[in-house]
Amino acid sequence: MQSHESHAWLWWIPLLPLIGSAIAGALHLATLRARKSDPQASAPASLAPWIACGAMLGAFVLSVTGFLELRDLEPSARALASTAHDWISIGGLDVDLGLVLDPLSSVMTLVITGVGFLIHVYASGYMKGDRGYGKFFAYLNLFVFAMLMLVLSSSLLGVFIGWEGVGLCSFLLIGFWYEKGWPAEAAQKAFVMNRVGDACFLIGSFLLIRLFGTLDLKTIADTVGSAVSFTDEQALHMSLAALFLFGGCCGKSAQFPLFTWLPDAMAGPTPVSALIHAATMVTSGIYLVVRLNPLFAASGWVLPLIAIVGALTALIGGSTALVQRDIKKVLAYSTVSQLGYMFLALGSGAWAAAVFHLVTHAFFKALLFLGAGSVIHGMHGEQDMHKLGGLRRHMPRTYITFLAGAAALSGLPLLSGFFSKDEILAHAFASGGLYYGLYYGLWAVGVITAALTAYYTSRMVALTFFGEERFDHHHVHPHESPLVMTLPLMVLAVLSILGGVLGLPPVLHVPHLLAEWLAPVTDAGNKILAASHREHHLSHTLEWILLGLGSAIALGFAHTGFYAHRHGTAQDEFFAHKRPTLAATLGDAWTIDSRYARIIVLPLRMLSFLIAVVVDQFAIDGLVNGTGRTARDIAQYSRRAVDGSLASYALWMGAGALAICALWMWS
Amino acid sequence: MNVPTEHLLYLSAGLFALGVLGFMVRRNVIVVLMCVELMLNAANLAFLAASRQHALEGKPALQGPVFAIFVITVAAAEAAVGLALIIALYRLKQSAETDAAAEMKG
Repeated sequence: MQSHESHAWLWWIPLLPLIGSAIAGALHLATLRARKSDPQASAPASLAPWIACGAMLGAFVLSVTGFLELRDLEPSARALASTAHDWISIGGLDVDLGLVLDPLSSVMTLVITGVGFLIHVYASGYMKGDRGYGKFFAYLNLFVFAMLMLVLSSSLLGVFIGWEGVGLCSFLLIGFWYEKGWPAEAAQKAFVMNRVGDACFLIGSFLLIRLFGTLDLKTIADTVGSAVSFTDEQALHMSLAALFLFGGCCGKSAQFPLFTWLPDAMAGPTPVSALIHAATMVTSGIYLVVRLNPLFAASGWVLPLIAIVGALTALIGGSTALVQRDIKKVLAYSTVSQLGYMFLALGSGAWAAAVFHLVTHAFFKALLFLGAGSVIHGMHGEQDMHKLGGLRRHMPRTYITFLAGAAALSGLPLLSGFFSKDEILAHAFASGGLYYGLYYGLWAVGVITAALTAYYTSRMVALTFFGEERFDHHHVHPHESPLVMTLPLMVLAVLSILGGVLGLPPVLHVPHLLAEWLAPVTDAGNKILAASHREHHLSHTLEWILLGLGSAIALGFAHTGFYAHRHGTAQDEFFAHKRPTLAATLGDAWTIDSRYARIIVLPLRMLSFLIAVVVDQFAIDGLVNGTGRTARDIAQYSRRAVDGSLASYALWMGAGALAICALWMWS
Repeated sequence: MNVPTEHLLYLSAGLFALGVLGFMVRRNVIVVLMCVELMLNAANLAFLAASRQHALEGKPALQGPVFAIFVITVAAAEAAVGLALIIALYRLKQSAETDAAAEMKG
């Protein structure tokens, strides 16, 4: 810790949402009680959004305060810390319960509380009238608390608690409408898939304890960053630790092969999809890798593995989004794909670029999800794009803001997504020659995915807002959402458009604000990469060429996608008709999920059946019931000895006395 | 007349057997109690016989009579308690038969 001064107020950032959650939960319970006398009563719960939004606003203001305070410090001294107490002290291991606000966590905190606040405001309109109104805000605030603990904790154990906390809240919120059945299943799937990643996270943490004897994130990063060299064994252990931690990130951040829970997570209410499954929780894997960037930089072959997984996930997600009909599924696979981009950036050693894309993605994907929610809200729950169409006349505000988000996602020039995506691709290209040209291949995959992204995004816009109105006019009357929902959309639209100023490319001769801000955190990793000749710079001409290529691809494919789908669903039907196998494969996310069902779930069910019927019912139950039955049978026979006749008792007694005498005489 | 110890022990065993037999076959609780007394006295007889057998210089061993006196004392106490129980049983069941108190059978 650089600063010995304690900043206890830091605790209020996560505590405010926690308090908000407790109050909102209490209000929900009060509503339940009030409903017993009046089934329509919802007065207490209608206060919940005020509490929840207030808590979020407070946390956001505190985050801004912290950011300003950090900005006034020397770059190398930018860390505010507060240690509550010595938490665990066993042998050589000491874990403090502490918070640290440094450049990286301040960026994360600002995104979480800022975007989170907007989504809370939106949700107060979206969820109005729901029976679980108060409960929803209690869960949502609890999620924000866990997420803030994740990004603010000073030790990996604190991160893990936040990590599990967000997983729990994700589970609760995906299954929020559990009465319908399938959301409950989706919630369970998300939870179980995340457990796989969480186990990896734990193994990685244990390896770190073994290596460094501590879980303090800063100590670990500093130790690796300042070490001159490592023995072979240490290097291997570091690679394994990095690999397992990355496995944890694969689960939480929905990377191949653990991404299949995220599309199903769309069963939750749309604000949840925006906050948890697009803007914040799924980015915690990126946060963790950037937080421990020296470890990952020094872990050799893990870095290209991350890049490969990222590029593969980006391609799978992007291509699957092409044929989805559910508007939220398109956005879900798009999120998987964009998270893949972020991991491609991390695998290329471009830490700041990953965080940059994380921030812009939080803006435009939250915007797109909320816009989709506004469409669903206005269309009485319809999510199938083949049954939408022509909505731009009915919901002008949603349409304009959605367009801004879609343009940013497609990477149209000068919008936020353009700069962040381009920076990632430039870094992948710059790493090109390493590992026999591996990164050129990954760069090519990234460019193809960029083309797919532009295509499916404009397809989504065209199918939803253009063409003929394919819904039933007698039953559905599309209407614009209330201001409480469209206002957050507008703020997010402005952020999506202007977010690019955080990280303008070096060719423009302006400082990359975010990279400079994050430098105290990422310098150590960059130094390690530079030492192993992994840092490369592109010539300005090449950068201009890449920027131009990016713009051309985005514009070209956005145009193609729009014109192919502008008039309705004909193009989709044509594709499904002409290439049925390909369409089916893409529609099923490259059949990974059905393969899981066949290879893992089905044998597991058969094994469970075997255990339930043969082992449990026959062996275990047989043993337990058999013991009882035997005891009863023995009693049934032996009770006859106690027949109530004094004579027979005396006979037994006499016989016993005689037997004892006989024994005594014989021995 | 010098009665051999064996004869006394035969008598004692016979009395004891009679007591056991009565204890087993009779159902009247008062008779059962009398049979118990009979068995105790059979034991007393055995004690005295043994005491005479172990006489030193014409004086019988003291332990036998002492034990017999103790047994008589205990038998008196037992008879008192037993008769009280019999009265209680009779009040409860209007009967002094052993079969009347067979609720606790298995």
